[in-house]
Amino acid sequence: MPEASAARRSRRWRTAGSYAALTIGAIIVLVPIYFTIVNSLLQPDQLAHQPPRLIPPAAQWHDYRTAWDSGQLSRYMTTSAIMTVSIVAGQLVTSVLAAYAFAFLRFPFKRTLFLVCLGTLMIPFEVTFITNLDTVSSLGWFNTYEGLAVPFLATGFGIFLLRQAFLQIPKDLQEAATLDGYGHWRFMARVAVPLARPSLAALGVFSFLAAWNQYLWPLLATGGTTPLNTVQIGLKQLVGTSPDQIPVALAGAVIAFVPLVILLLIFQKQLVRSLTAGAVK
Amino acid sequence: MKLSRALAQAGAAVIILSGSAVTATALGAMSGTEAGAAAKLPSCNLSALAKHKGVVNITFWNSMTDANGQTLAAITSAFNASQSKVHVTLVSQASYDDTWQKYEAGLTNGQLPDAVQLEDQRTQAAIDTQSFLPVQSCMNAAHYSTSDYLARPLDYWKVDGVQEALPFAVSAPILFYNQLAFTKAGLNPASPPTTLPQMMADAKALKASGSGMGLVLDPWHLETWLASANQLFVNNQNGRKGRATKGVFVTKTAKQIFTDLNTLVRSGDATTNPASGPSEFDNLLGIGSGKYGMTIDSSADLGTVTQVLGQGQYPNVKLGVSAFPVLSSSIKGGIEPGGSGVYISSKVPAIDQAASWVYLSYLCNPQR
Repeated sequence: MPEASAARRSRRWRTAGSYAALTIGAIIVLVPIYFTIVNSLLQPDQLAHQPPRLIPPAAQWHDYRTAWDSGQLSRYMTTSAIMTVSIVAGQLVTSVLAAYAFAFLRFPFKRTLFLVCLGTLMIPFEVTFITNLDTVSSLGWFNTYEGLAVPFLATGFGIFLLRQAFLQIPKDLQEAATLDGYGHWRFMARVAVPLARPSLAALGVFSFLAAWNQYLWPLLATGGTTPLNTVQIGLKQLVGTSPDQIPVALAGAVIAFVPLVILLLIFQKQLVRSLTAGAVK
Repeated sequence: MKLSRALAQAGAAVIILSGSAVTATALGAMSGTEAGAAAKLPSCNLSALAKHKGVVNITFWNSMTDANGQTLAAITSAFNASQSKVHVTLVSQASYDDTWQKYEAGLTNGQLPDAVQLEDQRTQAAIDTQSFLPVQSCMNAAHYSTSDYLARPLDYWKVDGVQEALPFAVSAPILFYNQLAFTKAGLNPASPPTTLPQMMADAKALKASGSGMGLVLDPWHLETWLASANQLFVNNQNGRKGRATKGVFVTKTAKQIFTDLNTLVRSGDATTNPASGPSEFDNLLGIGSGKYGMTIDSSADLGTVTQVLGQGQYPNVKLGVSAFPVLSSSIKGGIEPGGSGVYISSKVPAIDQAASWVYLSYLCNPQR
């Protein structure tokens, strides 16, 4: 009896400890975001106030309007949205198809080709972007949505992630589906993809984050007199050299991360599930 | 045995010596050809532009923001309206660094502007791209007079006697101070510090009266303190007589500067902030909030600072500006200019190059 209560007490302590650790982690992550929001609502002269303001004395929302209108964030957000959605859709489709082939089909040089796919993960973007820029320009895609999105429509990471998910589908299911007269296409669409949904969601979120936050490629692949700027480039232009601009730039930063927050809230469950998938067998 | 080893060592020494002699001559020969290049500059075809019928459209990449950007836009539309030969389209990039990255990438796919504004320290890198027409060519062709330019900024963009770019948006580090804070500290607001030791003393007085000094960690200021004592930062006349190959600021003077700045910061009289990133303006903003009584920053910020002050948000600030506090009043050096040079691309048709010259010389005309 005392042993059981001791065990319960130690479990309670452990829970309290993990909650404390999680709270500290959350504070570390959230404080910079909180200050970004607070400072975006301050007047420029209050920015350097000592000690820093924790609550804006009189919230100034007009900087959001400035960032959205004269900072042209509305236009940049549209460009970013089109580019990001194309990239995410492209990566999901190509990864599903390629991963299915690597997981369920038999064809010559399968292992070698898979290793080549994995090999692309080892090459940093900085090595390939000049070549990509050359290719994109020679196709006449400089400063177009094609130029922004096409180089990123396939990803070795996605193929790897989904192949692992597909491999966890029991062989029996595939055999049962074959007996029911399912071909590869129907098995993929009706069985494999629904079962791999957590991994698909994870891949979707990761590629969304990566595409949305891109800087170097959209900077280099656009130009001319009417550049097709994405939101990250627009943000850099907001920064400027004037201390007056700081709340505007911060307001822009808040606007730019709103889509990411919405996305994370929607897909939170799938993301967590995909992280723990396969952890317990 | 011993003798042979000694001989071998001597032999090696001779080889090393002769090796360095070879490099020395090679360097000499190289700088010789570079000096020769001044004689045969690429041509700047101004007469083709004069004969050309119709409008030549050119683009100018710039990195101007805020007040300065509006001024540039106004000058450019005045230029476009003033004549019918050349039409300039401005393309503003987010920053000097972005402009440079884009320019380098543009070298591979040909997406280059006709004229570009590059930050001051890119001079040698710009020459190395071999994609610019030295403005010297057009100056010669147009018999352009530089008599109304200050010699120092002009020389700053001159390498081996060739004017590579025209100085544009030239700035200098200056002292910004709050006259009210000076009065409060018992200092005379009409006589701000003119030397580094005076600046340290005034910072101490400001600190004692509740403010202090904001110090932005910008290597440009270090260069300027060295220049104010007639000292170089890198060899070959700061790279203006040939390629700079090493830093030469390990001197007693430089050590003194670092010691002084260290004292200033360690005593708490000055607080530092980085020159880039989210806290890059803390030294200027600190003057507004009353945290600092003075700071050093670029004269390029003056327009924006007065604009912000004019809005009346800072009743506790009465701005004073004065020259950069030099190392010592007894050594007369100079202030190192900063800002940017404007370059003409050589990768575009000759007629566009000539058009760029017409625009840039208009832009750099002191009457603008």
